[in-house]
Amino acid sequence: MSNETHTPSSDFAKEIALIPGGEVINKCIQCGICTASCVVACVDDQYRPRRLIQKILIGKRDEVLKSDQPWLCMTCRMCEERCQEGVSPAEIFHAVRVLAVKEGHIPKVFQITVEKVLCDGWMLADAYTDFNEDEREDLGLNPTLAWNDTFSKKVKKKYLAEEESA
Amino acid sequence: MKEIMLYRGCTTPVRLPAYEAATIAVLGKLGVKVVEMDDANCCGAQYVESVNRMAFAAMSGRCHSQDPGRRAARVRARLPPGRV
Repeated sequence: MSNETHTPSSDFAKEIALIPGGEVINKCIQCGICTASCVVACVDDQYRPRRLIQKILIGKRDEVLKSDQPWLCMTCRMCEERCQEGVSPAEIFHAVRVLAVKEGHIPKVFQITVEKVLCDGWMLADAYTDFNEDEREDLGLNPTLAWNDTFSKKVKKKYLAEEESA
Repeated sequence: MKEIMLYRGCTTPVRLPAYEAATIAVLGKLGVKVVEMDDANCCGAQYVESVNRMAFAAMSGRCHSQDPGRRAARVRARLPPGRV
């Protein structure tokens, strides 16, 4: 794969390229195979990874950083797997989130989920019902999941105390 | 018989328990005994990771250190920051 870039790069694209994971953004040729491969785009017609990359390339900094879209990526990396130019939208959106966090743009629902994970020790505590327990028993699996919530509470206290008060 | 410790994560045990059962069954046929990782915590991927890198490192680091076969990782984790 050659190192040449194909697209003009905005200041915002250059900024993203400096964050680990965002380096190769300027190799994007806007073919759209990322959107075509995306499991999120399949169920949400507002979520279009190619279009989001395009907005970064043309320098729509504010719009991208304040958008919920970079937070919708599930990091399945199918886009990365299929991209012929070696670009990883998953990594690029991670770089965007790093920058968005620095400037205080975290979608409320995302923040609530982080709180939930750190409080319960894992994400699906509320979703785990006796139906799931029965299913696990039928499969010969242990229905008691025994998650630890003390450690994540400590992590919250140590690393996320400021964000909570903010 | 070889033994491994299985970290199930959040989604597999709740949404995809058949994957978990299949993994254990296949490994069993290959002569590998699977031990469940009890007292595990969320690995922090995506959610915690996006908000705070250090918190993410601490959470996934603890998951790794649960495996008794990886004592070395646990020892490294005790080193002061910058040495790891």
